[in-house]
Amino acid sequence: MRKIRNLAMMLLALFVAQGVVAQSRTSSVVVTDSMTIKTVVTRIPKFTPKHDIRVGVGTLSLPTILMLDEGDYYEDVDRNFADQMANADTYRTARRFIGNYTLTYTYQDRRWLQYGGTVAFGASTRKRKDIHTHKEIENLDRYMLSVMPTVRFSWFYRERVQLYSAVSVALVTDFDGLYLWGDATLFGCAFGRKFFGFAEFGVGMSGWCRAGIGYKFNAVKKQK
Amino acid sequence: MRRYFSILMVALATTLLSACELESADIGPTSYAERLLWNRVADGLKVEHGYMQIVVDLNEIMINNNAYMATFGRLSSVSSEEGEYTLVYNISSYHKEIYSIQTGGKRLDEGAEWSLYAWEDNIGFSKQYIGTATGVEGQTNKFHFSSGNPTWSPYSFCVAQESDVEYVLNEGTRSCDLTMTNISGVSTDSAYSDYTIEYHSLQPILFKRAQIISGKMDILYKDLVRKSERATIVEVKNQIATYAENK
Repeated sequence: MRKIRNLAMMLLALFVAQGVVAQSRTSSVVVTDSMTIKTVVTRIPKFTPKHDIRVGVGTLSLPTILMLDEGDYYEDVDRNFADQMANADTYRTARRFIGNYTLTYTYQDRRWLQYGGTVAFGASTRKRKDIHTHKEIENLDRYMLSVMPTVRFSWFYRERVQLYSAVSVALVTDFDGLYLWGDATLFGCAFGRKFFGFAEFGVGMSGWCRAGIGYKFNAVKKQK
Repeated sequence: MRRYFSILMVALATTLLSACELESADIGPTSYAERLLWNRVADGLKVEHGYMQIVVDLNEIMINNNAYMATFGRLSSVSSEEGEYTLVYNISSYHKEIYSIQTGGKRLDEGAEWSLYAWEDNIGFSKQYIGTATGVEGQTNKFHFSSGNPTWSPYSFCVAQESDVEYVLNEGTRSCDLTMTNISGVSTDSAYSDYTIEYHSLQPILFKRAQIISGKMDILYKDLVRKSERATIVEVKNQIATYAENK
């Protein structure tokens, strides 16, 4: 247990250190020709804090499968005779996962650090129908909603490209109970200036693979 | 523009990947409700048939001087005291069933009314009422059997049933062919159950070797919570049941 905690602390320290490096980056360009060597040193302009809004869609993940796919075993166990009769001569359509949608807002006050929140909504659909008339008898859809405070660490920051990781603590409901879960973006990349697209790989409530679009804008007027 | 298009394509691909099938659709069984109902009624009939066999055993012992026991060997012992007979069945090496029949000292063909009890030993030995067999004067192989909500039942449901019974011993096949006519019964889980199954025979139910061979039954299911009903007619021929909706 202690080893895992130490490893987690090391990873966190690595994220922060890389972020700090990204924050204090200076650029050195060496220009040469056959006769002269000229070194040009440029400083990155002062960072302006930004608002970052993203909408994305994610695939399944272990917690979303648990929330959205109840399985036959749980549904049919211990049903009494009256319930069996009520469900007789009916059938259930296939259960389909229709996506895991996220809306994220973060505030970026340093190059390497963003913090904010994510709301994720996932759903799977299934219906019980009459075997003769095919009319819907019961709605067996399942939904899941999670609210997650999010911290994102950029470990490569350019105006047009960012590589990052993120962690979130998730408060999840399947509209039947309330659970505590989590989400981690192991690797994420964003391309674009104001409007941008992003793709991520991670674990947790947002799915194994996520992609989407976003918009970021300065929180304060740019200083000249 | 190209950039936004690629972003859109990535999002679209992700969505398509996401729209996967978690569980396949059921293959809807046909006549499942009818089969559920008939299985329950048939189980109840088999329970009643078992009780009737005990009456038959004692009747044969009284009429034919233990010939039935000697022929079929189902009983392990019979004893009597003041018109009350105790029949012990060795079901297995470690399990036996004990039944008691109060005859009042009369045979069924004399128009006697026998009360059947089971000795139940889960909570100490106690006698539990099962049903009453009423004989028909001059008829050695006919009686009316009535069971009324037995508090003791080895099954998870209870049955109250009235029927006329006629049996034929078949020594060649070492079996007893038993026919139930004018059946009228109710099957349910308990006194607090949320459903009842009422059934009436349209044609006699014939048992051979404890199996239902033929017969026709009208079944009405009532869901007392959902306030719904379902009726069906089941016809059995050569042990195969067919179902028809009874509207």
